[in-house]
Amino acid sequence: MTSSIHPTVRLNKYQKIRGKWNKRTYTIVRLIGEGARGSIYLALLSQQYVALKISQDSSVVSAEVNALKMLKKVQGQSLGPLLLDVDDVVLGHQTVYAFYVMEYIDGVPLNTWVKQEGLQWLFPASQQLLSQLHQLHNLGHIFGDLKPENILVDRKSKQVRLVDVGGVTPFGRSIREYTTWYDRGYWKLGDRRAEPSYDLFAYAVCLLSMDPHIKIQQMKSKDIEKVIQSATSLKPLHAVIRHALHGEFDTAVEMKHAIEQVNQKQLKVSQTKTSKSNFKMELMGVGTIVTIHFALLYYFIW
Amino acid sequence: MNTGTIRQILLITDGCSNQGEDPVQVSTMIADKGVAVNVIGVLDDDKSEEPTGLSEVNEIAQSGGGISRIVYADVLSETVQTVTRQAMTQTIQGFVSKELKEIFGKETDETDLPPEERGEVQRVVEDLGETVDLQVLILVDTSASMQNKMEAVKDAIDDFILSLQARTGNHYYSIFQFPAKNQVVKELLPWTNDGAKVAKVFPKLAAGGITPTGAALKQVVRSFQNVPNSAEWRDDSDDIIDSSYGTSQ
Repeated sequence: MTSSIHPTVRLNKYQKIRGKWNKRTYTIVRLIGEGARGSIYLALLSQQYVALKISQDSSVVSAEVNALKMLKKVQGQSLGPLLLDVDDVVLGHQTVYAFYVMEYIDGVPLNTWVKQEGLQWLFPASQQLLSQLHQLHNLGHIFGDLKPENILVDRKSKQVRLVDVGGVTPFGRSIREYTTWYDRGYWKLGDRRAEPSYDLFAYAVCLLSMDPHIKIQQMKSKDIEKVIQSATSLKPLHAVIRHALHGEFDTAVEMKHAIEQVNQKQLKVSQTKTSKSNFKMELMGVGTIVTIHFALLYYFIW
Repeated sequence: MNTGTIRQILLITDGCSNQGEDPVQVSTMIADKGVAVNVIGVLDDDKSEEPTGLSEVNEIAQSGGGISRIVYADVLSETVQTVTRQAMTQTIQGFVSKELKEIFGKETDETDLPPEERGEVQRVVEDLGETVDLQVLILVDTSASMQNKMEAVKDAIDDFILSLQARTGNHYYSIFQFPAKNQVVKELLPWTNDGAKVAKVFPKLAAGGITPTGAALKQVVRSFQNVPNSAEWRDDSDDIIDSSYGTSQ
């Protein structure tokens, strides 16, 4: 019977977790996160860092394992973390807990990353993320619980990775997990049935939440247009965001192209602006930075 | 496969009952009728610790074969979803365990299966959860202390109906409040599957009075007899979810 507040499981540093079925032993390093569905720990398997998710509710583990297996079917770069092991562990007074182990992604949530590195990162990040979403949609599933915390930028590769697959839902089904602010139902702009535009709505809110003027959790009004208007740093993207919020993109690729077009336009604008020496740091494409760098390089060589 | 019907009461309250029958006892009786009792305890914003009165919240759900959560008003919406979904999963899992027992001839829990096979069971549970018919009776505590939480309750109910509508399976919901003038409970909205009707109820949801939780529960459970019999609303005898499930936990 699940009557506890959260299905979290407390493990200690250095605690050994030995799987009942596959007999692998993991050593707990630290807690990474705790949520409504369980706890995630950083753990060591021999010398390898892995992420271990454990829950009092075994159906949480089964469901997420199913989702991770489904994501594996995507060719090329993996969509979610790689699934490494699924097992049970007996703890304390003979209580059995289900857990699964996945690749540890040493990453920074997209919102933190953008705060540190600048809004121009939204362009390459969006390109990557929307391609990944498109692949997922091609498998007939949506991500569901899309929010900045679930989009990690890998520290080493600088690639965007989706984590936390608890919301992955087949098309036509009711969304399994979502977070209020990123849910179109909350804003009264659509239902909670899984279709690609549900993810694109959530991503549009993610974009809005990156604007330093926006504190999405403190928004009292449910009028999304007001939120758009206050996101002044993202002005060039307003049209795209509005489009996504009103479900006018059918596929992730359409949204990706639209953002790319904004990027190209920004590039041209800022180029002319630089030459006129009234360069305004509003929203810069990565291309711009590259151009500036090349300009500087050229200057030094010369 | 013919999917059955899941029946739930969702009680939203902020504290202990102070009049009439013992709600924990009543809840056991309700579970015997095949109706799960879920309870959400709503905390006051200024209280950092769980008040002792709210322990009753867990006890009612436990004896009612349901799920309980104690939360602040601002997370009420998501809690209503989680609780309903988990209770539904729990009921379905109870049914699945029973099936497994028949197959294997002994008490078999999902965790007795190797993780690989568990994934298949989970898929079946999820399919049923999505397609099974659902009847939810929402019982709102509108005693005086709930006054400043009513807006959150309305938002949560509104949001909940949206989630019900996203499901593939049929649903019926009804809304009751307690206490009411000169009576223990009052039906605010009879059984319906029309999401638009919920808005009309909200102006009537005003708080004031005492908290006869047990008596209120006892009265509302009778209302499951009044669920409309539409053509798609299947007969009880077809239920694959055994109505005696609540006692087998």
